Amino acid sequence: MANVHCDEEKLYQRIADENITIHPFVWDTLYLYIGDYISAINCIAFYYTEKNEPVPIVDGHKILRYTRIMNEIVDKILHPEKMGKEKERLEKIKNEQMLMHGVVRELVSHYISNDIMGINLIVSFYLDPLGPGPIPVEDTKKLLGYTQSMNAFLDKFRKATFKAKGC
Amino acid sequence: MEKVLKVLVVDDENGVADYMQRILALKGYDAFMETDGIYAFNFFKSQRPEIVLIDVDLGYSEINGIELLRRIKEINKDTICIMFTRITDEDSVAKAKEYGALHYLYKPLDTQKVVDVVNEAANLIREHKEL
Repeated sequence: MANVHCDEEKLYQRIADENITIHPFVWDTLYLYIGDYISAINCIAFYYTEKNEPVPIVDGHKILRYTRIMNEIVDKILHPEKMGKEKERLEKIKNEQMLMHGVVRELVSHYISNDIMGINLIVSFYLDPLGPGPIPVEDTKKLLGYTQSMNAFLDKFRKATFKAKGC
Repeated sequence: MEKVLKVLVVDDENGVADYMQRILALKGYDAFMETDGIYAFNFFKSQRPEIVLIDVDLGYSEINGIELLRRIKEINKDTICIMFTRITDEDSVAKAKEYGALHYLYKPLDTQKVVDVVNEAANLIREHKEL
């Protein structure tokens, strides 16, 4: 759902030419922490789309909470220098300075952060005290689209950058 | 009339367990959820669901999803187990295969794909019963 990055081809070409990778531990942490939340948002949106019912406010708040946590985690993984005292895995990323290449940061920020923001904006609009209330099916389908977009990006990006253990 | 199959969803993320269970109930299954491995195993022993969806990472649970799979298969090797795992967790994928999981689906999950795999598993069970 995020627009295609204006330099997408060039950036992927740089990943290939310069053999830019992401540490396997960072990949694993990214999947561990945000995989659950993307899955949960996908489940909630899928459920109400199947029922053809708006997402109630209470479930909108759950989605909003998931997007906030994802945002925080992605931000910390992209910028370990910003981390304070963290959970074990994040602490390891910080201490061992598993920094991401600028190209990687650019693509992850563009796709993941924009999709998270897209979800956040839709849900926040309906949940606002002055907002219209439950999230209608048409916009719930957009939430589904954002989760599918993140899945697709992660898959493509992993294939471009993931190196097996020991590499 | 076709017997309604029992499906148990085990995931430490309540949002996944809760809604996956609701979705499978919508699709005509007798669906249940647990967020803890030990509770899930106790549920399995008492209710004997035919299909169990298991997240490999069960957070603070005393046993992880792989151990739950092993214990379930020890009691009834015909129970169909479908694992949720991370694509980067190769060890768990290998163990899940070793202990006889039918499928392993990677997180982040695509809910439609989960439903398709459960339907496929249900067809296998029904075909097996007809033989």
